[in-house]
Amino acid sequence: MRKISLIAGILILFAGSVWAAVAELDSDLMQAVEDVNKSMASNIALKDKKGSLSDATELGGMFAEIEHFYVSKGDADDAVKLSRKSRELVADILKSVNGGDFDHAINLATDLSRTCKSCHNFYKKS
Amino acid sequence: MKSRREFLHKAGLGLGALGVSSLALPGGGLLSYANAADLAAGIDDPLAPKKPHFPGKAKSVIWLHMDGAPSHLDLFDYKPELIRLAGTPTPDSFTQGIQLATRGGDSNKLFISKREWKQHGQSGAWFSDLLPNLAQRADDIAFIKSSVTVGATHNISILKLNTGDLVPGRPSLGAWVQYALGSANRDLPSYVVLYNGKNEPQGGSVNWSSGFLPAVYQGTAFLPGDQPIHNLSRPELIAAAAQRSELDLLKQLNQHHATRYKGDSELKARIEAYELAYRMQSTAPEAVDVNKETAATRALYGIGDKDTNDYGTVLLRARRLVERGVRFVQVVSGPANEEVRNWDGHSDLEKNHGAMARMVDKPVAGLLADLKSRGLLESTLVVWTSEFGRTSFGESGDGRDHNPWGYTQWMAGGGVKAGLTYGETDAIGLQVADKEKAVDTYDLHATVLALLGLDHLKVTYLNAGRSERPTVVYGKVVKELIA
Repeated sequence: MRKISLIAGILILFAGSVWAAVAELDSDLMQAVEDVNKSMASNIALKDKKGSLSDATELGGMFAEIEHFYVSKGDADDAVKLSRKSRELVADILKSVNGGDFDHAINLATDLSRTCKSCHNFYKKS
Repeated sequence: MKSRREFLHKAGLGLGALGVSSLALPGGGLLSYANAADLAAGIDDPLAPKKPHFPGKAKSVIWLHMDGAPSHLDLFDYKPELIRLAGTPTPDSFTQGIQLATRGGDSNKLFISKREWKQHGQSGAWFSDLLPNLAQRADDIAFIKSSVTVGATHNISILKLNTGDLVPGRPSLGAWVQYALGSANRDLPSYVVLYNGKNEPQGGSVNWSSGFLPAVYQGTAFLPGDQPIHNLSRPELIAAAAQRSELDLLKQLNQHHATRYKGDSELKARIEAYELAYRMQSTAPEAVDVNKETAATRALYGIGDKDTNDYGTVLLRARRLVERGVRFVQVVSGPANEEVRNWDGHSDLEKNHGAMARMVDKPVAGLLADLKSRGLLESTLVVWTSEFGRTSFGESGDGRDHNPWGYTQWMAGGGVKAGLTYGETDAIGLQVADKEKAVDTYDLHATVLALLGLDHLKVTYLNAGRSERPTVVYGKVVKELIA
């Protein structure tokens, strides 16, 4: 009985922490997105293909995580739409950089930053 | 060097040679040598004129920062629905998506002041009765009625307005313009800051800083009053030739030092500053002397009238400076009187905005008229800007709180499409109506740079391995504003 209670208690604690994680997007993740985004913008401006691709790939993964969070959370259509748009922009950036079109890539990167800002208007805690 | 005696002997001969050469060669002896020394030391000229990326109509900018944040709802943004709903609580539909600082009680009720509104000019732009003179210039102005920013406090938002960031460290827009275009007149600072009142503008010199750009690009603040530049005249006891010789020696010593510290931009700035100060002895007094203007021109700016004298003097100086090739004149509005320090009308908005509007209305209108009559408006971009706007709901019963979610700025001259209004706020003037048309500070900067012929994405500087630009990672040129 004691063993069952202990297991039940651990499960409840785990569920609680998962619930807390779902309720809030990890601020470290958002900071990382901001940092990598700035790095990517710099690398594109410097026409550093390797650096740009690395940052863009990393960003793509992070936006996928953010999209998943909001899909799971529910009732966050704007955020889902914006994170999906961000992933699409990253994909376009990867294509442009691979094709050597850094001018187009920097424009896309700027659009991506503006998309981040739009989402912050709705969801960033002040 | 074998001994101190040997060092002193050689140094003495060197100084003597300098003295002889200054006597032998007219104009100060070492000037031509100094140019060669520049080349030998590998010191390039950071202020050499540079071409823009494409032809731009604007050659200079007069940045009119209305410090304290004027209420667009009492100056430019006529909202009949706000007037109809005045005195009632703000409907929840208008506050969706924003976090309000003011809560509860009377402070949440929609507020109007005693304004009369009229349309003016062929553009039909709306002006309140607080700006009767500026209303006459309606057709020179392009309004941005969908301005947005981050509005925690004045100092932070002012910093963002001028530098694009919420913390100090980035260059101001004026510094970027200098960096990108160089100087058009080497006898004056290319980036000047002006203000009226006794105290330096709130937020301080970080708002005209060069940030991580070389220090030579920082703004030069001219003081208010009759003596905008202290210690400008050469002391009577020092002859002109002697002063020049001293400066030449100083320059030579600094340049020699600079060859050991090639990356020290502050040293380069200091070298340039001494030379500029020397040249300014003859050019600056004339440039800032508004008494050289006709009585009619001084009256146009409201000089001589106690409400408008100080600010009018500042704006007339601004015109004289851009006339002489100064690239960026950043004008910060000061106090209207002892009681009204700036536009920050959290309470008694009627008194606050009455005084501030009286202070700026005639001078700003005069500036636009004067620039136009001299053929300078086409090449001078005038920007009316502020750190944010003010809320539709009241505060303290008779004031308004900060509003970063939707407010008005405007531009005139410099290739702007005059008569246009870009964007709008919602029915009560609280938030932008269409977020796709929101114009953030980065977008304003990008548009100003475009009018100067600069692509904000290509104005870059390598700082600690990272490519930086004026618009950080943002910025969208509002093409509709460009003629």
